[in-house]
Amino acid sequence: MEIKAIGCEPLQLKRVGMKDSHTLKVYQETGGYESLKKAMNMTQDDIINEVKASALRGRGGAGFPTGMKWSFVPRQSPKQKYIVCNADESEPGTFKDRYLLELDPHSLIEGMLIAAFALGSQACYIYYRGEYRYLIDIMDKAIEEARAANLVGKNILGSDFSCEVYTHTGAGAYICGEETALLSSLEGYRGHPRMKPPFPAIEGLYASPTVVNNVETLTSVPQIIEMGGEAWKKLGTEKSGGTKLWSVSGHVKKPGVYELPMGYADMEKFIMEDCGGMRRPDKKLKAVIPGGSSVYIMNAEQIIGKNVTLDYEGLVEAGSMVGSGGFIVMDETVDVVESTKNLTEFYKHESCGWCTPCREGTDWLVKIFNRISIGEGRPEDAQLLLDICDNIEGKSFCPLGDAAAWPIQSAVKRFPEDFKKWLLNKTNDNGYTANV
Amino acid sequence: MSIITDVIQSTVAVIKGMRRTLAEIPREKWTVQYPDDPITVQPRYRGMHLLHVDENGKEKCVACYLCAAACPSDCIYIEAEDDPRPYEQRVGRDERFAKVYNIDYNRCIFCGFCVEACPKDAITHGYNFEISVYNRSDLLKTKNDLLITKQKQSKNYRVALSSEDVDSEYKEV
Amino acid sequence: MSTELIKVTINEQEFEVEKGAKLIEVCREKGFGIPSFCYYGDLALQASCRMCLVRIEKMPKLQTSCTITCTDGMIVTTQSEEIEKAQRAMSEFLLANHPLDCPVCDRGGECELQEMVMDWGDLEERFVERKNAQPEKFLSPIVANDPQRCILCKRCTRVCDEWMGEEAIEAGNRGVNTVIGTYGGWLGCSQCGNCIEVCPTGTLLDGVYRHETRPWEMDQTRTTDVYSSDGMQLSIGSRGGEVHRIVARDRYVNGLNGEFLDVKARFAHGFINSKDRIKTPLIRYKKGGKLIPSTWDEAIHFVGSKLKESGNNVGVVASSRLTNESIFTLKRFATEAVNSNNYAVSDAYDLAPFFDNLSAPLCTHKEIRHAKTILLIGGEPEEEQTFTAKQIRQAVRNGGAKFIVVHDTPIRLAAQASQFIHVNKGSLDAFALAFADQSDATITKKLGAAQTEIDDLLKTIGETEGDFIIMFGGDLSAEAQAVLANVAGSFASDTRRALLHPLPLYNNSVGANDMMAGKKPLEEVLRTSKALLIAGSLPEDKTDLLANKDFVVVQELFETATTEYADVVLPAASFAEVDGTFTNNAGFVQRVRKAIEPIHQSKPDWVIASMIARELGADFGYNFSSTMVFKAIADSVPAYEGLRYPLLKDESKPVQAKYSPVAKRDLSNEFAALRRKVEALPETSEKITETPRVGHKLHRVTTMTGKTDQFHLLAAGNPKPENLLVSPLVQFNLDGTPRLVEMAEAASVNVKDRIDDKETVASKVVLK
Repeated sequence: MEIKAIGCEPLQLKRVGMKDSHTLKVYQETGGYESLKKAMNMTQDDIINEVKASALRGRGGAGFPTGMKWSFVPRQSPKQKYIVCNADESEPGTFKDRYLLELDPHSLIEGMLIAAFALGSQACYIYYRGEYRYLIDIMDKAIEEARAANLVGKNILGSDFSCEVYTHTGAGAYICGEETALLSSLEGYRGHPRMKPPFPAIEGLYASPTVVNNVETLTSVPQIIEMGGEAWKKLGTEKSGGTKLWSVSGHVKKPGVYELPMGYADMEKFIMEDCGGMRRPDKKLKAVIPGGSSVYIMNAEQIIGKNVTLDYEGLVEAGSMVGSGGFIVMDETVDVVESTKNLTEFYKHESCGWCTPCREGTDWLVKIFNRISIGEGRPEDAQLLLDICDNIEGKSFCPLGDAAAWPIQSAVKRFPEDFKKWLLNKTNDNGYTANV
Repeated sequence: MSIITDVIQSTVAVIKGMRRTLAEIPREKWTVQYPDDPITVQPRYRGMHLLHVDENGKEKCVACYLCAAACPSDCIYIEAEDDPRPYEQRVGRDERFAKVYNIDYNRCIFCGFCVEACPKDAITHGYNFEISVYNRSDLLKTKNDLLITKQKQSKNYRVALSSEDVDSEYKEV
Repeated sequence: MSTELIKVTINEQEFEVEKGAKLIEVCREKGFGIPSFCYYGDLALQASCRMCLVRIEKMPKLQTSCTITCTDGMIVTTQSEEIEKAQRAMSEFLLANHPLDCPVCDRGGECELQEMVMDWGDLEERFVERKNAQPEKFLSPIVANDPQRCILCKRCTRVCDEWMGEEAIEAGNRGVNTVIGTYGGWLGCSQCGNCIEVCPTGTLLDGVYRHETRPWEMDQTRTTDVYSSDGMQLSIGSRGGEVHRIVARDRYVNGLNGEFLDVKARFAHGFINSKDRIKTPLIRYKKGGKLIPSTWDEAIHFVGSKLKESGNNVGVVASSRLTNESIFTLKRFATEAVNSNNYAVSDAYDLAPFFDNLSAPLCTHKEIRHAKTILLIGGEPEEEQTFTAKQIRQAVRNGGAKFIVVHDTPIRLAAQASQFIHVNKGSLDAFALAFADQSDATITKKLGAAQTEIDDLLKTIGETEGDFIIMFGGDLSAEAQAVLANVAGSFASDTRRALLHPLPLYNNSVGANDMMAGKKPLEEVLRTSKALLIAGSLPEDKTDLLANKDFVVVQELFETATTEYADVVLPAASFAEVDGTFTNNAGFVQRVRKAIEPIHQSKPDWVIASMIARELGADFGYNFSSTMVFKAIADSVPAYEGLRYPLLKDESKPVQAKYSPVAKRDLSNEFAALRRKVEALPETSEKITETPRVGHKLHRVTTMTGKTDQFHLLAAGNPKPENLLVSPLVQFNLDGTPRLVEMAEAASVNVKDRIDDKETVASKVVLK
């Protein structure tokens, strides 16, 4: 398990590896809460402009510019404003936030407090994934420590800014990682996504202006305030600044969490050198899912020798997306049909049941994959899968439908050989070549 | 006109007629000695309806009224009922069944639309065709008359084999 | 809604529409069909069925038209290849796990899913996998549920929540396993059945009409509810002289209540074809003897000769369940045939004080829905005037109305109230006095409420701009009602309209009050008359007064406590067998139409009365047609002037009787009487703190509701059976005790017996 920064100074991972890095003492010794003090001497607009200047983009998956999101909040509104941290990290292949929450809780608290100060909010919520229940104690202790140091609660650092931070866990639903479903769940309702518009920035938690940000997004905020937006942006590219954490798993020698600057050149180098190359040297690279399960799967031809840069634009150009940075590497022993089936089962299980295409479509897809896996596949199934995915994509209520469709679409298109084996020969050998 | 021409003409007429008669005698006969011999009916002959049962003797009809809806002469009358008992005890295959199923053969035109409409293959046309009665009210057949387990099949028909070309035989005439 | 017009282009045609209009409504109005399941005009938006997708320029994906509000210059496409593909895809998805058991489904023939798939779906089915089978089961004696047929449009949960405020059904589980379920697997709600009504598929089904016939086999007759005074419009489905079901589905009827009905209106129709109906006229030739079946001729002759003996000592009592025509004819019978002023209405709640002092217009149900402030004094609309209660709930929930309840019991509706003034038991009269005469502060002591509460109430009313509605029920004394009805008009101002809404108990209480102008109190009539003609039955506590009468004629549907005293019982026709009108609590005169021919030898009440009148030598001039009776009503009752049946034809535009507010009368006598009553109240009294059980009035077993077996089970506490697959009616006796043999038999019914796909016996299926 590697946790390290490559190609840059560790920012997010600055304190990882230090002893007792989760304590306030260590945090403050390493410059913690200085950004908050600095921010509290700035105006609200300055903070938002600084974040805008940093070109920080949401690290949860969609990559929406954070400064823009903040500026949508009507700060003059008489309603309470809320900052909600989306720590519902359920994307298969993604585990970066877990380390931040476990090893550096204070940086999240600090980030939230800065956001709260900038937006005039007095309440912050951290929505934990149900399975991360065991991490809550660490955060609660950190909040208590911060409160004792007058960093959370009434009149923070003697000013008239008061802000409370609360923790809350979900009950184990992937859909609650979607921001509106998270808000529904936080309010105590079924974790169903809500209609947009109104967007959470206008009517979110308890129908009040709300900003929902990923853990990594919020932990970046203190660095931005400390370094200044422009300087932070320079670490990355023009359109997406700073550094990003990648959770690497699969058939590499050194899986782990890596901090890379945005626009880190060459994905091939990252896999083959930084992550130690393939785990079994005699097996070739077959597929990579670069951004957590719900992005397009890439085949080896799209990576090797193509100089794919690791940032939002670079991956889109290469035919995939950054997503939440869950980097899953597969070697040639992997059958893509089976791995896709596995993912589809996940989406069927996690579909909330609100809208028709996602609820019925994922069930149908799983039934087709089940049929294929017992050797009952038919050549026309490939087209059927694509068609069902096409019918789900863009027509579902929330992005979960899209997320379920994309891996299958890309798998069918980019790994036709695997599908041919299953649909035509029902086995894994003998290359019968028909037009799939 | 003289008597002689009369006689000659009559004789000629008799000879003409007898020639036809005598010529027919050696040819094949089409007449069926009904009811001593059975009538040959085509496999798709539309006779009196049959209500079918499944392999365990449960009525297939679920009283969906589609036959009644399809019927152009409005001769089918159904009353549906719910049977909450388990499959083994109830009369129908499904929990919904026809308590009353009447076909009024005063009105039925044997068009077969009911058979087409049936989603459960519960009603088909049988081959019974002798349904003439002395009293019109006897033409109202109830479920007891129609059920395949209850309806007595007449001995007076024989279903043509599918290989038999019944149609062309009749066409010649 | 503003009347500002904006331009919207739909399919290259430009239209001017009102600003803020919903796109789906606009498209449908302009003739561009858009399919939808989850969209329901009256309910919160859902956007989950994804059928109503349209393409809007400058928007990235296909958009659900149900969630889009029209904006100026919007360019919309509703028909294109892409949209058609999406619609076909959605109907394909919906059918994926939907069983094709339409032949056994009670909704088959009027199922929205059937229609949508026929219109917008694909011919070919590509889904060849096994469907997720689930058995059909019961949620209550009245509601059956087939979860497999559910398309999760959640209209039912929204209706339950928004219309009824009961939240009895909700979705459970997630993903493809989502089911509409209940808390504890059994519905303990008021059983209104509105979830059944709005269900687009056969998921929620009417347990009373279960597997009886099919929709297209029935004749649908639009008529008016015979139970509640809201005058809900409904449609009777009858076949071959038998009433099978009652619905308010908008394809059959479009009344003031929309698709809303309550448990009695929808399910308690078993009495119409009950085997207990009186079949022929019955005569008791000798006091204490038996009732002997007879013919109409003999019975009428017998009644005529006996009434002649009694001279003008004949009293006439009409039930307020009868049609206006019948009540009017009975009044004419009293005044013209027997020359008597002894006529009364057998209603526990006399509306005369209300209408005699009407100082403000009557409010309609639509006005309740859009009211700004509603004051409810006494009464229990959620049990008695259910549609009024629904309108109040929506006014509060969707319209943001202020709702003030003054009651001695914390009724369920009080949970919605913005202010609840909890008064002492039986001290509603004191409130009426305190409300009408604010000078006397000592009354509040009797009330058990602080003066500040009344001050708050008056402040709320004072701040109201828009409609202010006062409703009160029969639990106030006559004087209090007179005072309240009289004072209501004084709350009107330039920006505020004061409206009154009575809460009568019966479907035609208001009409009975109109028809029987100059009626006497029921007890007085019963005491002073020697002979009586009673249409309908008396309240049970009044029947003792019938002993020792010379001659009693009763027109009834059933043998009741009243017919025990009758010398002649004449079989009357029920509301489903007559033509006529009812007047509801908003003053709407609405038609009652004949759905089936009168059962057995029964006749409409007005026909019976005029037959007897003719025997006595008085001819009213109408024999066969209720049209003529109604014309006579229009000619002699001022509020009904000019009304004719053709004007009442369209139930979507009900006609209100013209009640003119009366000039303020001197009510000092009433005030004095009221003050005396209030002074007699105890100073301290214990408050009722218990909220009454759901359905404590709705589920009561009466002569009429008792003929529907399900009501006995509901009244017996709605017991939950062991095996939900079999109707509780099979497993329980009518008094709610288990039928052990049948229960054991029912226990042997398993999932396999209840699902269509017999091969997929889902051993995993667990009943919840």
